[in-house]
Amino acid sequence: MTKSAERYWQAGALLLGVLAVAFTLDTWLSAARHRDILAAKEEAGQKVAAYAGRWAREDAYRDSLERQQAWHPVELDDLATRLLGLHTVQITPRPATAVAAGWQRREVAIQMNNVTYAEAALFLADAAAGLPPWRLQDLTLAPAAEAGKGNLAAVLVALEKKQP
Amino acid sequence: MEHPFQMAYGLDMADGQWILAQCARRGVAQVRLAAPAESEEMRRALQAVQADVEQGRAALAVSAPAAQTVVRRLRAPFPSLAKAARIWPSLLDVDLPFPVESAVTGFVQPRVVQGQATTLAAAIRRSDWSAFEVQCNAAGVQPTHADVEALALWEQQSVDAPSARADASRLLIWLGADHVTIVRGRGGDLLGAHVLRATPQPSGSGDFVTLWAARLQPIVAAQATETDGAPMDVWWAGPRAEDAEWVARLRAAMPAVGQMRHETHSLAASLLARALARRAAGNGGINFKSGADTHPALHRAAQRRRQRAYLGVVIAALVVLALNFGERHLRQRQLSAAQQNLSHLAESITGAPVVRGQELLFVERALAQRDEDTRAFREAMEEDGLEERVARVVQAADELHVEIVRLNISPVALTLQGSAPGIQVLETFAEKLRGYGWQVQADTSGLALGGRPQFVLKGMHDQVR
Repeated sequence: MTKSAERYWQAGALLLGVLAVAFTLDTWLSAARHRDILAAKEEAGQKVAAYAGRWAREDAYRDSLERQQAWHPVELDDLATRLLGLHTVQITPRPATAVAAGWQRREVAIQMNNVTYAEAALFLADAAAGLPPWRLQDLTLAPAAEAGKGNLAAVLVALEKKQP
Repeated sequence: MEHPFQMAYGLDMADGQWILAQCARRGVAQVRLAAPAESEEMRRALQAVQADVEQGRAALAVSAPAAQTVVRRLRAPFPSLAKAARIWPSLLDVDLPFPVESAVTGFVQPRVVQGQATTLAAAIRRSDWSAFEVQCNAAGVQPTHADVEALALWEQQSVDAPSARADASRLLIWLGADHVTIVRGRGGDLLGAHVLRATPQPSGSGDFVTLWAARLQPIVAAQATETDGAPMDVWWAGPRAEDAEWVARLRAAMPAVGQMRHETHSLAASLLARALARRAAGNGGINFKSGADTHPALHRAAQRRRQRAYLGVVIAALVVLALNFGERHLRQRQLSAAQQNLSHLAESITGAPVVRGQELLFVERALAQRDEDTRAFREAMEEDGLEERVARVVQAADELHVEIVRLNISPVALTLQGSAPGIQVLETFAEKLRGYGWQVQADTSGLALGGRPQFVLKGMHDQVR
């Protein structure tokens, strides 16, 4: 081996040695950071995975409605007429809002004057018994002029889907 | 740099009768051949040795001419060996009869004795050294090591005949073919080395005895002084020591200083050859053939070792780099897999591609939207709806004969105004409502017609508190 060849060997060995030390140092020093990043990603994955089944009940309920083709709630006018007679219930629809998968949330304000509690309760119970049901959102019961009767103001909401 | 030889040879080129000894690493030195220098046997043996030397497998050690070699004990007045190493040449220069610059020098591994760095140094004039090399070449010997005779003999003596006491006064008299070397010391420590450039000849006269007695007087006296007059063990060795008659005459001519005990080494003639072989095998001793005078075979062997060392470093570095790249690749794969899993899960919720690193943000936004979208379904499927709550409140009022005058109820709050048969009943009614989840506070406001206490109940539902 000539002097110059030996110098090349020496330089090469030195260079590779330094590189090996530098890479090893970098690998060693970055190990903790890598573990942290990996742990953070796995933690985020677990969090997201936990969210995945969050609306299973809602989805199942919607599927159930669609399977039964329960696209519209009962008509409150018809229900009121059937239960309480004509013109007892004043129904004011409010703007519907779109929800998931083509469904919308319908909201109505109703006013029932001079009704007994039993009549009101019957009306609300029948409205809630349908599929999709009318659910009570707000209720105000005030005394009426006639004893044993009251004036009822309520807000009802129900799901509805335009028939596909 | 140490040379890992498989075998080391020591050659005592005394006059015409040469002795070749051999010693494996950590082995015992043994005589391989003792034959006339011109013999075919010796020539063949040396050829084989030289071949091994050329291959870098063996070392061949000779001793530098004793008569031209100066041995000195040096002491530095401080215990630092590193500092002392810088001044050894200067200290030696003071003790040498010639300038140190014109000499080939060697130093024994120093040690600290009584707070002083101490070493043994040997030097030979450059001209004498060159003449010796020419002589070796002419004899067909190309040694790898040129040791110092006195030091080699002293060391080998402690191997062949270890001293019983650590501070025993010892004198080694080497009766060589053309000179006499006297080495003196205490225990294992060498105190001085002296050379007589003459030796008793088989057919010699009594002239040598006269010279002997004259020269030995100050040497023995110095030894007695330096060892506090301790009893002296005198060991005889060398090719001429095999002549018992001469040894007896020389013993008789020795100055009578204190008590002396004389012994002759059992392998007297080969002491030097074995010493040279053993020291070369263990890379001990002084080698005048170093630096620019190093044997080419040693240069080549050293170069091969360096080359192997470089190659070793290169291979080790490449292995380490490969391991590092492997580790990085593994980490990359782990991150990719975790990222892929996360992206897949996030997209299953958002329903659209998500920006890497912002999966949780995208998912949270999608969740908020989805939460809103599914709220109506939750309301529709709610088991304990507001209707049921109203029914329970009305039924409880009916059971306790509480009259409801005004009722306002939402999923969040309840306000109920009415009258009860008594305060006790009102408390019972409020407690019932609390049982249904309404945390109500009752406030009475006088009596209604008929003397019934009027009240107002207000409260929030548990589910929103």
